[in-house]
Amino acid sequence: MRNILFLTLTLSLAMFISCDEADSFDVRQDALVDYVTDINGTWTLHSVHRDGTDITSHMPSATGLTLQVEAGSFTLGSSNLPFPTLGNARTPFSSGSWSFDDDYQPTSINFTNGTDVIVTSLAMPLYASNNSSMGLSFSMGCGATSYQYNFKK
Amino acid sequence: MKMRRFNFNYKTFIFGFLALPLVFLFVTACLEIKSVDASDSARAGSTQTVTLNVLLDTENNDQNWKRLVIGVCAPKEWKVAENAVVTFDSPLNNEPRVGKGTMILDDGAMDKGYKKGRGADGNQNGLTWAANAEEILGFDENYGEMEWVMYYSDQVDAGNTSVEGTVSISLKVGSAHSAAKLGYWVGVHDNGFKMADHIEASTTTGAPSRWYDYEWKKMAITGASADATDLTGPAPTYTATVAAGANGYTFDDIITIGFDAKEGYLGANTALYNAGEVYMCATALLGDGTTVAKVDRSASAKMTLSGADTWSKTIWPPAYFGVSNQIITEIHLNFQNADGSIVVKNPGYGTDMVFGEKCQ
Repeated sequence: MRNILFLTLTLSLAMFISCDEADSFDVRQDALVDYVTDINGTWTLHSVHRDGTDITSHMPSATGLTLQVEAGSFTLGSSNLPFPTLGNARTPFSSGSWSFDDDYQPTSINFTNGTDVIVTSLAMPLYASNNSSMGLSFSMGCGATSYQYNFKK
Repeated sequence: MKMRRFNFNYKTFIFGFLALPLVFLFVTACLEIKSVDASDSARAGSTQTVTLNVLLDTENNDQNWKRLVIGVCAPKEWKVAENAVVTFDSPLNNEPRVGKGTMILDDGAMDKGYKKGRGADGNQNGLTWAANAEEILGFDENYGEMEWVMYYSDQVDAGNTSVEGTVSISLKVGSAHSAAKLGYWVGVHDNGFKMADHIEASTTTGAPSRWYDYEWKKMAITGASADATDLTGPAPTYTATVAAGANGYTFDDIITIGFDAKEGYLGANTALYNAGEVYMCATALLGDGTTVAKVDRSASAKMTLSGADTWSKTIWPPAYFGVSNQIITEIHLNFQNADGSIVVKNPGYGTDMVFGEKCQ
């Protein structure tokens, strides 16, 4: 009984003296601020995947597609490639306005010509700024066939 | 053998005189399909209503106890007998045998007189109505996999009138084919497929026979399955393939066209076996029926060697054919060498290989 009491007191003392005052860190004030994701600029298509298979080399003109993004507006360069806004299921459009589903943590981009709204998923997360890669995933004609376009800036 | 002499007497005369109207009663009813209202394209799985606008000319012979017979030729996969509903409507309103109602599926039992098919001579020939239709009308441009399904009406009192009525056919569109040429036949039970010239007084002269009429109309099917075939084109071939992802494609997809120079007629090599260059000559059929051809063997039409005598080309059809705001319903393909002196078409047919959309 005396041993148990001694052991308990010893452990309690050891735990008590092991406690130390917590370190304090300075947090940058801007780290707590959400920034609107910025993708403005000219994006050039880098690779095309169809159902997960890279078919870029099968389409010599694939890398010619450009996507000009400015504040709220976009313009597609001429290309022999499809784009979600170019499907013949509706009136195709190669320019118009765009918006994120969430300006701070976007998961998709909505392209519109004022009448039709085409929702295109982002294939990878975007930074708030200085994005140099952007992936769009979408389907065109046959809904089960998916495409991923990887753009670089 | 002793010949029996026919004795003409007053009883025979009276019987013949009385029977004469009965003969006319059943012999004349001329039909013509004036128009077919059907969509040029339909989505697989949808229900489509086809309307036949039909002229019935009794040629002033009192038409009583008539049964209208309708034939529908559609892909077997559509299971018309199970899924279709056929109705007819007209101004004929002579109770109780009015000119409207739901038509009855011919089960092919031939257990009643009106259920026994009549051939080109107008006589019952031991065949069903459907078998007669297949034998006499066939399947037009369809390469096969079609069937005729027949319907008949209740008895109708048409009187002495000449009327225009409608036949409405509700069809459930299947997914096994990207296009089919549907057939529609109208006739009456007591003349069937009898072939005869029109008489001077007839107003149904647009029909091929005084007694019946038929029409064919193509329907493109969107959203068909990945292995769907175009029934109006040649039977499927392995010489060329069109593919996108595992689940199929429409012509809004990036498609890859393959050509296997080893898959010729009956498995022999094609004339482009061991060719140094292969060019794809393609023609797009658009939704409005017009075509856009790209058959110039330009650099953009050159195919890439992708294996042992297999070639491929990946395109986005709207841009490749320069089509905007139009639906491409089919692509017709042949393959040529650089100077066009060798042309490979569908083996055994000598026509372009035809591909429709295939999407699960």
